[in-house]
Amino acid sequence: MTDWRALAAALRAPIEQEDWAQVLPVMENLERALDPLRENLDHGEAPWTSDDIE
Amino acid sequence: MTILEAGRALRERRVSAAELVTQALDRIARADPKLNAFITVTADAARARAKLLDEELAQGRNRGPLHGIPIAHKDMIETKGVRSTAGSKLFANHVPDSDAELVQRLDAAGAIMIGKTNLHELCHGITSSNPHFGAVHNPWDFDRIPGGSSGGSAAAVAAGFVPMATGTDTGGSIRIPASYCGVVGLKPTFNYVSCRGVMPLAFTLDHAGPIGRTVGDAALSFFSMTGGAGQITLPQPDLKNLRMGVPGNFFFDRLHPEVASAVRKAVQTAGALGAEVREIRLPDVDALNTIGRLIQLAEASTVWKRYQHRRADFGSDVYALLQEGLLIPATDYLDAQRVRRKLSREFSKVWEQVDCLIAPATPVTAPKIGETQVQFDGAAEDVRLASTRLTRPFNVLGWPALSLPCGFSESGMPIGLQLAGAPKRELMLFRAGAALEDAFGLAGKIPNR
Repeated sequence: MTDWRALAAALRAPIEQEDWAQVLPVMENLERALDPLRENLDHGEAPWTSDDIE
Repeated sequence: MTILEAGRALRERRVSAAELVTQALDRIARADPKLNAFITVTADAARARAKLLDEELAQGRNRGPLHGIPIAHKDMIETKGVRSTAGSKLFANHVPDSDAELVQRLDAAGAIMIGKTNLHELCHGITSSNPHFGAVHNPWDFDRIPGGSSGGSAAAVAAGFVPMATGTDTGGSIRIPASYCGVVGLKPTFNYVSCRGVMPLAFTLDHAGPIGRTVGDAALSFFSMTGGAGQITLPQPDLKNLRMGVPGNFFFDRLHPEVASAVRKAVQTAGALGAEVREIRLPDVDALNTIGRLIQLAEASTVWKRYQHRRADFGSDVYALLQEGLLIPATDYLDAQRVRRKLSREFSKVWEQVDCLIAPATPVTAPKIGETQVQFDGAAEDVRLASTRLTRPFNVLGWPALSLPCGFSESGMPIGLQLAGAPKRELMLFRAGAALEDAFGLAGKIPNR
């Protein structure tokens, strides 16, 4: 899992100590949900564009 | 009066645009102090424009169904010479020097703007409890939220101030307030209604559309917003032989029992009206919500990053979301967009089986102001996540989706039904929605307050 506090420090993101209780679970849940989805992507899959609306 | 009724009365000279504007302004003056649906009321400009449009009618110039009809614009939408706050302290005094494209189109169609509606700050939320301009209240129960982010627009329509108000929808922000306030909201196909001049929240998820008291009003407004003013006709109600898919997965999970019951009855009604109703299984809807949230967080933080040093100018909920978005790596954002493309292909196959999906718009009726969680079978769910989980998937797919009232709870709160179709199938949604609306007999119902 990503060390979100370290990432925030590296990015100089202005996240106060008291805000982490709200921010951290969201980041961890999103990462946990995204990881299996991207594992199933083909290498050649490109990002979505509005042209993909058929 | 609906747009259709008011338009007919205008053309038959039984009422003037000036009188319609005066009636709307009187209603706002009387009832809006309790609702707080408006941030700005443009009374003088509306009266002047009504006079002009009355003169046009007298000279035989008829711009179409919206000629002389009072409407309101969500304050996320830029209006020339009228402050457009986006519900944010950052833009409390922002006065654009041009109109958004959809405002131009509605102006050309003869609509009269009477004001700008309140909203969730920067559209980044669903309560419309705005820390800078005050909370919007639900006209059916002042202790409840109207939904959001287009909460002021839906409340203004539900209260009968105007027959139509514009909204924007990035994760459900037209359909959620339509559902909670008992009115009709359309999120059109992505890019069908121009977002030029609409302050962005998330570039690849933002949509603009109408909130009306009836399906017909939403349809007439939508066609005007897309620039089809010359050929606008009211969609004829029709469900015969329409293949309607009832999702067997996800959309009927974790619903309040009263919502589940009302929507199941609506499905039966559709069948009785001639629709071919069948249960279908959809691909991974949870995945659509995951990537939709991630994309929205990242794109919104991209838009507002330049203001991150002004923490005191943001509400705490919005600031937290902007912080979350700042942390999303580019690789995660791009992977989410790649998953979106893959899922879009998978979901499009549903249109080989059915013409339309029928499902609830929201899993609950409007929560109380200040409530942060709702309960399903004893389990708590965050109000924002619960409110958006049935609407956000259609933002990610870019499909059109219509919310309309299909019943009321025992406590008197509206219950919303959602119809979704393939891209550019708005007319089919309007025809199906109008047929159901006729059967439900709820069109234009106004709270007795």
